[in-house]
This record gives sequence, C-alpha cells and structure tokens, in this order.
Amino acid sequence: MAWRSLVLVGIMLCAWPAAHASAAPSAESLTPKERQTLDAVGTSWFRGDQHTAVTRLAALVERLDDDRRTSIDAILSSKRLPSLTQMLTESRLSVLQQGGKIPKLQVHEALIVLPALEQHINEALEAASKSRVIGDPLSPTASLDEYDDLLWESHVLANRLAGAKSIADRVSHLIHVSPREAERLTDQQRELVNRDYQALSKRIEQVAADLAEHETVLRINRLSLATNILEQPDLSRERMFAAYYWQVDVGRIEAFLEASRRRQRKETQFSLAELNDSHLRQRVAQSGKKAQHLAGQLAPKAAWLFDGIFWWHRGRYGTGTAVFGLAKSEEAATVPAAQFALYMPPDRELDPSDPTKVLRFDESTPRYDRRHHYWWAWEDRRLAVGPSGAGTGGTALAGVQPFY
Amino acid sequence: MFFGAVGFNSAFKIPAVDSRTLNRLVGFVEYGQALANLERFIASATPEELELAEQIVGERDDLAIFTNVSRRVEKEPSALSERAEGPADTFQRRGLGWLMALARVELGTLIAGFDDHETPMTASRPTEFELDEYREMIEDSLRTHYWALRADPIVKVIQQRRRPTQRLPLDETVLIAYYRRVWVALQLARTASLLDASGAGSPRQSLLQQWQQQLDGLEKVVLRDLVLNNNALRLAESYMPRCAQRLLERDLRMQLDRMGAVDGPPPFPTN
Repeated sequence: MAWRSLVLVGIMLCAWPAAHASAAPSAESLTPKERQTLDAVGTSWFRGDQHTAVTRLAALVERLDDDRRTSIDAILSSKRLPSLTQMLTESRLSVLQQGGKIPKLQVHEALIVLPALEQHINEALEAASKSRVIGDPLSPTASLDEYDDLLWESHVLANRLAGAKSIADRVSHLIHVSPREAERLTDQQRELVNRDYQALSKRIEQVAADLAEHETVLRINRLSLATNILEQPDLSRERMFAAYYWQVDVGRIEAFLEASRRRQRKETQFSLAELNDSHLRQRVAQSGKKAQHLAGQLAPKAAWLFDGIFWWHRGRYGTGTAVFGLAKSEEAATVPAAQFALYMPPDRELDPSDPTKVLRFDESTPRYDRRHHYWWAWEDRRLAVGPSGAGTGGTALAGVQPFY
Repeated sequence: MFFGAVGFNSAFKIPAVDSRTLNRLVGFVEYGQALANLERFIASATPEELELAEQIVGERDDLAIFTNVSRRVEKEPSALSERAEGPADTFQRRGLGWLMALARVELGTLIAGFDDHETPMTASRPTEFELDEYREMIEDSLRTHYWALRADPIVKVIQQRRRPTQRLPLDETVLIAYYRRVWVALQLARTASLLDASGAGSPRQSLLQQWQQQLDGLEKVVLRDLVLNNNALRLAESYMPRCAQRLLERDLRMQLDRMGAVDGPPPFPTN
C-alpha cells in the first residue's frame, strides 16, 4: 500500500504542470500554496525523507477544514492519486516505525490519522490471533519444508508486531490536543485521542512474547528433526537443508534464551511447558554439537549456499524507503544497521514476471528486473516530466516507467 | 529485522574512495554478500553437492531470471543480438550461474555508477563457473542501455551543435545523470569486448568496437557540457566521483576545450 502511494505521488510530480495549464480557474483548483506543499511532499517522499513529508502534510491539514480537505481529496482522486488521509497516514506510519524525531499530532491530523494507525495495530494483533504458529501445532511427522513455512510466517508476524508496537509506543507521546480543543470534540473523538496506547503496547508485547515462545518451540523440534536427518550420511536434499537449519535454529534458540535471561525472567515463567526446563540451554547446545558432528563439512557449505540465496533474494526483491524503492534511508550511508532495512514481500511464493511483457510498472515482480536500468537518474526523476518524455520511456510519468 | 544465524561474510570488500552512497543503494550490500557466500560454496562443493544445489535453485520460481530483456528496445537485429534456444524459448533461465551473473552485473554497474573505481566491472570478477552466463548478461545489459540511449531524445539535445561557450538548455543535474548513464554503458561495452571470444575482426568484435567508440564519444560530449557549467564540478563531486575525476584529468580537459561547434567526436546515433 505504501509502495503504491509512493509511486502515485511520483506521478503527481508531473501531473501538476499539465493540470495547471489545462484547468480553468475554479473553486476546485488547488491554491499555489497547496500545490507547492503537495509538490514538496512528493519530492521529500521520493528522497525518502518521510519526516519532511509528514511535517508538510501535517501543517497543511491543520489549515484545512473538512470541506476543503474533501475538495482536495476529490481533485487528487480525479487524478487517481492517494488522498491526503492516505498520504498522511502512510508517511506517519513509516516515520513511527522507523523512529527519529517527528512532529506532534495536532488535533486535525490526530482525528484523521489515529483511526488508521489503530487499524494497523489491530490488524497485526488479529493476524497473530489467527496464526498457525500459535494456534495450530505441527504434527510430529512434519517435514522440514512445513517447519520452514511456519517459521517464515512467524518471522513476518514478528515484524508486523514490532512495527505495531513502535507505533503504539510513540503515538501517545505525540498527541497534542489542548484542553480547549478537547472541549470542542465529540465524545467519540475525545475517546479516540484519549485511547490508552500504552496498554495497547503492553498487549502487543505480550502477543509478541507468546509468538516468540511458540517459534522457539518450533525451532527446538526442527533441530531435533534436522539432527535425525543428519544421521543418514548419504547426500540428499533433506540432508542439505538439515545441515543449514540446525545452525539457524541453535542460534535463534540461544538468542531467545539469552534475551530472556537478560530480562531476568525466571525460566518457570514461560507459558509453554517445553521451555520451562532448567536444562534446556544445555540440551540445545548438545544437540547443536551432535548436528555439527553429523553434518561435517556439509555444514559450512550449506550455510554459504543458503545464506547466499538469502542475500540474493533480498537484492532481487527488496525495496528501500527512497528513490522509489531503489535506495535505502539516508542513514544507511553511514550506519551499518540501517543498511539491513528493506521492505520485503511477505509472500515467498513469488513468480517473476517477464519484463518484456509487463505493461504497468507496479505489476512487475520483482519491481526492478534490472536495477541498473533505473538508478542512473538518481539526481532528478523529473527527467520524465518534460514533454519529450525524456529518458524514461516517452511518457510523462516521473518515476520508474521502463527507462527505455 | 533479525537475521539469526545468517552470516555476514567479512571477505566481501570492494575498494572505494567513498562508499557511502553505494551503501544506500539496494543491491550493493545484498548482492555483495550473495556473491561472497556463493563463491565460497562453488569453490568448496563436490560435483554431487553442486548438482544438488542446482536442483534446489532450479525448483524455486522466485530464483528464475529472464534474459534478453533488451529485445524490447532493440531497433534492429545485429551481430550482438541474443538468439533464442528454440521456438519455445521464453528466455527464462534458472541456476546458480544465472544468480551469480545477475548479482555481479548489478554490483559492477552500481560501482560504475556511484564510485570512482577506474575499472568498476573488475571489482567483482566472474569465476569460471558463471562466466558464460555473465557474458550473456553483460551483453544483454549493454544492448539495453545502448538502444535506450539511441532512442532517448535528451541525447539529441546533449549533442546539439552549439558555439563552444553556449550552455545547454538542460539542468546540470540532468547532465550528471546522463554522464552516469553513458559511463555505465561504456563500462558494459568495454567488458563485453574483453569477454567476447569470437575473434578479432569478427562481426561481433567490430560491432562492439563501434559501440564502444560511439559511447566514448558521447561521454566526452557530456563532459564538455559539464565543463561549461560552473556548478558541474561541485555536483559531480557530490553525486558522481568518477565524473569529477574525469573533469580533473588535464589531457582530457585540453581535449574538451578544443571541442567546439565543428570539432568533436562523431555524434552518437539517435533514432
């Protein structure tokens, strides 16, 4: 959703000149200040500067009454662009999840954005409640592939919950509604701005902890399965995967138990009985040693193969927060941790599209068949705004239409 | 995000004067790590393990790659055009070699575009294992950039005959972007030429030489336009170190200064 809006905001960069030239002056037209703000929002969004996008949009929204906001949304909609609500919500979401200093939520923006933020949080909680990881234990004869599918689901869900918690943690500190403004709100609106986000954050934390426990149990079981598979010395597909998975699982289980220890959590306080074993850490270490011995030289080779594929997959399908997904945040230039951050498709069943047959840029999988076809115009995507259509394919769209 | 036991291979190093911008680009870290790991795998795997790995890679749809992407922009067939492997060939390819070739081309072009490395494509040399796939992918990438430049009306504007002191009606940032584009295409042409095994004097070699000369000439035209622009060097230093370095090369500057409305390399062909 954020990706589509980002693209459409890019389209907006070129739409204004044509629209301005052809539309007769009317109450429906944007004022120069409004157009300037929306262009600035688009530009900052393109650069991955969500903080500026939020700041400009928030300031714009505070100046608008409901009727004017509806008019602007109608104009945006007529150009098939996202509404102010959508742009504001998505940029707020992005900033809340990324962290950093962000402007306070004034009353008008709060009333627009809070329902969407709450929905985002509730959707993450609902996904967790329906998750097979928590609710549907695997059968004892489950295969490595089945474990892998479930652990992937857990990974995606953990990220969603982490994002939701980040929002809940921060949003309550950002709401800035004066007592006089609060008096003018309806009961429903007052309830919205006074929602107990800290309690929501605690709830998310509990769900995330529950998920982590279930995931750890899955890994313990998979470690056992992998060790059994490695008892068979003949090279096979399962042996190759087992030689990799035992390493991942030992590492993740150890990290979970260490994190629990650091939180000074007594082991008897885990909700799952399997984890309330004072010898668990020792058992896992012993299993790991056994698996390592059984895997032998296949272990490092499997790690190189599957780690290599893992990184390749990120390079192929990952999108950053800037330059229409071609680049990561500005922080990534100097902060190693920021270099890892990418949006990845939650679905692993990806079917790459033939780039010679894709008609719309946002229909292709992966987004960029060849990244070097696109990032050369880093400095200025307005190349495509000119009437000639310039270097991005003869159209008037700014952004990532095929560059040829 | 937590990557668990996924290893970060410290053997991966690309020499760079200023790698900061590169670090932002999606693919630089990722493909670099992918190659560091996969190179170790293919260097150590037994034939049976390699065969098994190929099966594993081959059965995953998300690891499939399409080649001959350039056929969408090729104006006319040439000695460098890719041939289908049969009437049913969709140009979908699978295998470790293709994964590595794609990663290496993306990585090399990233370095070409955003670093001042003199021979960027050699910063990540292909192994024998994926050499054939790499050659094919380099040529496909070259064909795409070459034919796209030929179809690009901005290239016509850049090449317009003007008085030596007359500036282009183009934003200097556009010039920087086009320099990057031409430079990348030039590196692809040079690499394709080095890898071509068809023999001196062959139609393929002749065409590669011709394209290289045309791109070389276009590079100089863009540099000349940048020289005429006062802010160009400052921008080039920020956005494209290689461009800035080129502008500082004394012999090249003298050559560019002599390029005028009449003198200069033959124009890059445009459609």
